[in-house]
Amino acid sequence: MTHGTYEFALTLPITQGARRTAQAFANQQPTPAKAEQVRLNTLAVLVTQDYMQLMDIPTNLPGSDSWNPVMQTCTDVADLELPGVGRLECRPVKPNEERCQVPAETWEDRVGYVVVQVDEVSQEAQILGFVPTAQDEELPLSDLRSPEELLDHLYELRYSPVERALTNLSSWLQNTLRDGQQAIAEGWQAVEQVLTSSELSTAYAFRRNSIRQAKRIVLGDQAVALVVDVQAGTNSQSEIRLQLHPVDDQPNLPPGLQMAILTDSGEVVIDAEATGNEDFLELQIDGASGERFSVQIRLNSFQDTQAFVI
Amino acid sequence: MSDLDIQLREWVAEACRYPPGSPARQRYLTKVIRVVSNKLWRESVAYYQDALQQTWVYFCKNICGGYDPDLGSVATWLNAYLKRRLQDFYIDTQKRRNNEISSWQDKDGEVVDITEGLADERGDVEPVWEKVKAWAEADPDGELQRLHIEGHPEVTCQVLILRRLLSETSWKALSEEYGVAIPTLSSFYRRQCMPRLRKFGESEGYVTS
Repeated sequence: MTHGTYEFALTLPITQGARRTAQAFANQQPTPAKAEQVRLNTLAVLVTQDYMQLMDIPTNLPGSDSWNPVMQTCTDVADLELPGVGRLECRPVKPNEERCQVPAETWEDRVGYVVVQVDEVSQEAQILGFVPTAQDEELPLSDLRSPEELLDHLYELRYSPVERALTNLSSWLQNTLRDGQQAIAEGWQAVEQVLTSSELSTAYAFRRNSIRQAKRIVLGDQAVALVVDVQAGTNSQSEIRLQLHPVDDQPNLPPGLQMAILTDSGEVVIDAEATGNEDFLELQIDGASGERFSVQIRLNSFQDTQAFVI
Repeated sequence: MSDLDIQLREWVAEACRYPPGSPARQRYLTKVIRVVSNKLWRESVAYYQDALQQTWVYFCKNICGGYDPDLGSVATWLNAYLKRRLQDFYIDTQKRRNNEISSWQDKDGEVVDITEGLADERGDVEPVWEKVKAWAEADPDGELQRLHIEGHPEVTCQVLILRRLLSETSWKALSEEYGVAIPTLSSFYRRQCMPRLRKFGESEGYVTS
């Protein structure tokens, strides 16, 4: 028990199955310290998974690093993938610890950090609370917010459509200073600032007289560059090419990377998927001034949507 | 009826006003679990936590529609279910005790498989960490030695993978040794080393993604 310190702690069972799995993973480790780390990480993840199941929140344990024996051995991670949301880090603490260790390899690419007190003697766990972000290797437990706030946080990430700025492509063609500053504020940059010259592959052949901008898109632990090329056509129609390119010295786009253009009402107009052999993907559409569309980019459970108005 | 029971009835009624999976229902169910968990029947048998988990699953699935507050408190309703599950586990372990030869039970009734721990499921002899170490040292593609933190050719993927293996060297120690800030080290590790480790895991058949 937690001496009444954490009034919103939630006591949950540690099942025999969880204990067996955690011990089997720990048995792979050659030192007692590493074995304990892996055992506690696994228990924290499995208890959180059980809680998510009670709350009707889907999980994908096989897609989590904490389920991968190589990652268990090399890193100190306790992530639980929540499809459509992202990776939730489930950090274990032992009874009476007042600080939780948050290893640097988990500082990015997480939708939150839930802290689980694991009492191996009583075979009980307590979900002590959560924080949405972390930048330090130690988290004082007094900073934790309640499990109820975790639920709201996950729901917002899953369902609430974030009010996204519409990127106005016609303004790119007009190229006023104010619009230029607006574009930079939205994350759009010159192509050369996002892609190095070696990443600008031979396939990268844009048209003359077109305006193009690029944006770095982060999908979990991977990133790609979205390049948008706009050319004014006749009768106020614009031709738009959208390309995805690898970044960070990767020769090809990651396999399974999906790209789709959606209408304003969310219907897919055209889509493409990388198999791991492509150094870029391209989709093209035409549209009239004022028309809206969005580009959805997905990799595993991560997704990014960019909305445009022509 | 106690004040607490009245409070629980209100929370249950609130939870059931919202659809499954909605944050409002989740929030009220969580409140009920937090309070009722202190009022449930306890037994010191190995399968107790399993029976309890099944009880919580039953609670979340059936509280709206399956529970009649006029017939008793939430705790009474759940205790009845929990005791039935404990009884099932008891009968089940008795059966197994009589039938199985390769298993035995400790005094609490926990089933212990004596074949467990002799080898992992893949029948491997070489532990995972030794495989990773051998792969990182050999660096068959030369990639791990080539990729390094900008401005620090000595801090390569290979160095970081080997030093972080089994979490032996702390980020703080690495930061001091190489004069590179922890976020720079860990960000490089996450972007460059972890995807390659995952890929190695897949190629060794550890992951089925």
